[in-house]
Amino acid sequence: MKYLKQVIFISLFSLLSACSLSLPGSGGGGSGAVAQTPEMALCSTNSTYNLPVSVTGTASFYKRGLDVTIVTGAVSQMTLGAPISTPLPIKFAEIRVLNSAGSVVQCGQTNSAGALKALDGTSNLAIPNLPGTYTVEVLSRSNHIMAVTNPKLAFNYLASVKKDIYSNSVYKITGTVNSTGVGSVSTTLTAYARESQSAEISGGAFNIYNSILVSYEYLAQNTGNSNLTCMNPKLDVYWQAGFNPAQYLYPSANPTDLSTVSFYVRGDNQLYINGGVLGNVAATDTDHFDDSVIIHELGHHVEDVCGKMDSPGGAHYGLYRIDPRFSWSEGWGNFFGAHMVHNNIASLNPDLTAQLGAARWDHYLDTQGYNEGSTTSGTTLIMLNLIRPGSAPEMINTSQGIRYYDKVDGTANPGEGHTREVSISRSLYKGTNTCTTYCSQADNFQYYWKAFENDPTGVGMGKPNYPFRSATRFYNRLNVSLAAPAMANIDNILNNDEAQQRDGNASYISGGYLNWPPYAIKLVNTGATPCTNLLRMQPKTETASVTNGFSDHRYSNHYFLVDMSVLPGVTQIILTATKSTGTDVDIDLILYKDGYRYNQDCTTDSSGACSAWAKNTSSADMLRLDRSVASTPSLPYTKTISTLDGLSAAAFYMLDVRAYTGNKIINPATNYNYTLTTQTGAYLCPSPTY
Amino acid sequence: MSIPNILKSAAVIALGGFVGFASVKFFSQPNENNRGLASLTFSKLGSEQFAKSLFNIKISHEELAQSNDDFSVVTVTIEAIKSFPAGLSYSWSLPDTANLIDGELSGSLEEFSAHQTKEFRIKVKGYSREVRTYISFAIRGGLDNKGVDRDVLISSRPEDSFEYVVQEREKARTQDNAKGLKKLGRPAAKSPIDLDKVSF
Repeated sequence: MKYLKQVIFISLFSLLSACSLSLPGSGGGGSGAVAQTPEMALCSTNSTYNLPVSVTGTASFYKRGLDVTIVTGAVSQMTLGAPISTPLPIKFAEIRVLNSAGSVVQCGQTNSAGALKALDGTSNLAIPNLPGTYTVEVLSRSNHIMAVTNPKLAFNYLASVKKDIYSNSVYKITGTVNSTGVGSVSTTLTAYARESQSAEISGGAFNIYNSILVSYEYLAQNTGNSNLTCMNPKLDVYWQAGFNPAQYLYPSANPTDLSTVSFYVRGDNQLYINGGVLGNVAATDTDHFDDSVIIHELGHHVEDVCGKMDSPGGAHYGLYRIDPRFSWSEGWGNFFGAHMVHNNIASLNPDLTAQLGAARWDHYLDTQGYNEGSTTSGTTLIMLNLIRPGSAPEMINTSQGIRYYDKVDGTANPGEGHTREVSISRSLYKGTNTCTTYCSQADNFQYYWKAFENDPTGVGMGKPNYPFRSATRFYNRLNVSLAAPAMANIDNILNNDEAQQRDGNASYISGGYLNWPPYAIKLVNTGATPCTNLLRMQPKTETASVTNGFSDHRYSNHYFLVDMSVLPGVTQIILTATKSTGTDVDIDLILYKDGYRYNQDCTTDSSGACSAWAKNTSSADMLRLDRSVASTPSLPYTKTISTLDGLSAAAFYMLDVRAYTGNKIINPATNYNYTLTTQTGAYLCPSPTY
Repeated sequence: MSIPNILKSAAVIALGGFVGFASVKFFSQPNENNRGLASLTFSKLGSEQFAKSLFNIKISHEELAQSNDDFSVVTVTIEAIKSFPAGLSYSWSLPDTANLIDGELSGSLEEFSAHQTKEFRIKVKGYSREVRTYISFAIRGGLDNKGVDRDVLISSRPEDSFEYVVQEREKARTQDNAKGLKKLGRPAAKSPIDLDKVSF
């Protein structure tokens, strides 16, 4: 026991030593040139004074507003313009009051109107009765307990908007007050949006702060009794005017060669918001005033901490069928951004109400540059109206032609919406808002949250028993959280508008064949009984317009969840494929591990397009595979993966039944029937329940 | 202290150290479920994505004047990834302080064959290291029923940018980390962020 205690002590010491050596971004090499400064500690001490002087006043910020063009009652264009007419309050932000020696004499917090208050948010902000000059600082940082209605558990808005990852410096606006030692003193603090008024564009920092806070406030009031303490961990936001954070990702790159980007870092609770390029904010893409972009990235954080992120990430354009995990995550982010703005215009940009008139904000918006005075570089980069029909979605209307953002056809291609991020954004938005066609006409957000969250006592898909999360899984869980009559309205959107028919929908069955098993449906052993609906794959040609030249996740891949705990004794899975009609196609078996990255069967050129094709067999994510060449694919052939008894019964795996379609023209009427069986000939079939 | 006690103490220290560092190593494993591919941003979809499949474009200073009384030369290099016909237009944007001395501020791109490289060069006065200003170059138009809208921008004082600070800091950090490894050549700067954890 004595030695055990010593071992534990030394273990802890060693553990702490090792941790201190591997702190993220510590520089690693110990060079003073790359040393980092930790973030300044929260000001959290309430100091009491005899006969104090009160500091009153407000803190507010300007942001660039929008120039809105409306044609026939609908928004046709939006660009950044001059700052909004009236500054917005800086709510629930940290206050520090310093004396002339630079010592902190009081900590406080702004209230919901931006008024300077004590830490409790209501009492006066008290300073000593010593005459002198005091500096009042309001920081882009908050440690605020969100107001919720009992019995919902309180949760925290704990976040900082900081300049960079090295200084960890929090933005602040400051004012000075001259106290005579009695009564009260007042100051008005303002963060500005124009670079001519604030070199660091402090209004940008506080707008990011506000966009996130407003989203927290919305969640506090619109998620029923769901437990949001998952939001408690501190969120760090990095932004600097005129700086493209892509440079952090590719520090050796020439800044002029990098695309501008905002992004989220999973597991580290870090948002990076694009501030421009090389110091320029007037003619480049910036995101600090693009609320829906900021909140899109926050949506990734929310998914990370309150749901579960399974997205493999990657390039995405809103134009192609992509990995269902990826389309879900990005679709959720777009929806989250547009939905928060739509439902919080008064808190985000009150000028919009008058500007829009009878028109509506239903948009995900990303702008570039701005228009004000002699600066006329403002343009719309992306503007997605999320209440447009899936059959006639937002488009880029150029003089040379039209391109649609994830146009879908639920009759010709049922289920394709599950692989299209903008379609998912639209269905989520329509299901939680009102509009003339297809919207649910109900505020269902709290039920959507229940279908999304990871609360172990709930029904959401964030729980560990729902791996490989996608829109298919989300709507399956929504069907549990939402009452039947309301779900019928959602199904109307999914079936008739956005080609996101739910699992079990009859549109996936034709002639007794199941031609699209729900993404990641579990395989079960049915013994000598064949599957209720025989399995059929309908592989498609890889086209530039539909799949960006890659494998089609809707048609050329069938995905099955393999859970060895329900497949005891199974050591092999055998695919038997039989051509019914169309082109000869070679279908393979690939078993991926959880968190896999889909490996395309091609090498890409500098533009990202496929330039040479071959079956990919080298990925470490592929745990088992049979990608042998079917010598006569017009005749029945088999593929086998083996040694499955070596897999963990505690893990989940994904079986990808993949048609090799690289650089191959495939007859649209191609049908391949197939079975999956074990080494004993028992049938493996999609579970009757998803 | 007796030899047995010394051995016991050494064993305890060794075991404790092993457990501690092994724990850190275990919990420091990359989470296989949290992987992402750092590549392009959602905000860059649309016409630019099509343009990227057509050509690469780079902007650089061939000469950068020290003062606005001197001349600077800015070059844009376009390298075709695949052939494309004539029809796209280009234009330069200069700061208010700058005057064009030589070159064309706008024009049309001629036909490109695959992998062909062409340069566009302007000589300007009033664009220098004296004051931070910007020059940009844009290509607009449409091909194959798809829009092309691509621009690049360069600063007269890149060393004033935070991008430059990041480049230098990460280069220093990477070189620090490479010390003692006896590697030949200069290592490329590494990202301070785990790219596998990035979502756009």
